[in-house]
Amino acid sequence: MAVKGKTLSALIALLITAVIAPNLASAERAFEKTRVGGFDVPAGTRIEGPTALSPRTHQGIEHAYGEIASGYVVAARGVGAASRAGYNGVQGPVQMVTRVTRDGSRAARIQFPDKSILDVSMSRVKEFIQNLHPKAPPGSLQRVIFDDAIEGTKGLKRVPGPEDLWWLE
Amino acid sequence: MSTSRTNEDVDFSAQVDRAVVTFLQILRSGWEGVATLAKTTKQEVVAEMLSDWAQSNWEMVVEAAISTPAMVFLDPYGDGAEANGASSRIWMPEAKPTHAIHIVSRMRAAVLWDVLSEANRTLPREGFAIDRFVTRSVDGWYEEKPPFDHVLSYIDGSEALFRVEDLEFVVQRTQT
Repeated sequence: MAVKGKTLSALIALLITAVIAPNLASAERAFEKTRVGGFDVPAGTRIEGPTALSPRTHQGIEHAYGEIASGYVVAARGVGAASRAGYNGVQGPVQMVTRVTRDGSRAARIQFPDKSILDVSMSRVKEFIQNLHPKAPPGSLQRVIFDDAIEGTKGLKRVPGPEDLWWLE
Repeated sequence: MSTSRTNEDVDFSAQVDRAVVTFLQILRSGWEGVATLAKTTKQEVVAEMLSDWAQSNWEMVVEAAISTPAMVFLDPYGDGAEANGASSRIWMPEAKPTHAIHIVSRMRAAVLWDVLSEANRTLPREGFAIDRFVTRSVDGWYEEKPPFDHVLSYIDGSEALFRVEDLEFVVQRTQT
């Protein structure tokens, strides 16, 4: 039984060393080249808390790996094909316009250098990215449909995370 | 299984179509005036004011007209309202959609001509969900302004435009 346990441990260690770790490192390298969701992801950062990719709080290496892998997909698609608002590899200043919503809360509309837009209020976030429809005129935007959207919003609104509310501080 | 429709079914279908057409008439007649009013506010608020106005009419006209005898809550119109923050509704902001307005061919055809992709789109049995009414722009794209002679739908996440004159509006239960 003890031998079996050791063998199992060795197999898990081998799996982590040979498969998970290299992919994790690769995904982190991809993150070094970009920013996602309007805030920096410093090199080597392991994402375990809420991110603009997913406002859900994850715990544990599987979830952290999943978050980074999602970011890797965004980075790999390159500029112009981003699936979320953010720098998406394009450096430069953002343009931010603030306002007060009709319910009296603060809101901000942030346009990133790649022209994607993050629209944040205290109660919801909407995002707009470049429209890639072949008939869309240059500069057209399309709305982002969130997997974790607020119910009843057709996927267009999500709950703001700390990285979103940072823009309102 | 019988596919024949009862008189009640036909009456209700006609009521749905009439309700959406009435909403469209309101949109056509009021849009420019509301847009002008909205432009006196900050630019960022113009779209929200128009969205709130459209959503309120969507609820008070279309939803109300088809909410008898059972209560119906429709998918939001266009981007939905902004007046209630996290909700896309005006009235009863906590209510979740139970139904959605879809489009089918008025001529009972199996396909609809998508003027954006310039191709026929095969209609699923339930039709396509309506997103909003729009107008074809001179550059071949679309914009949200009168005469609102096209319906914008999203098929697999991509825009499709259909001529209003080709369409009948129906109601479908929202998939949960």
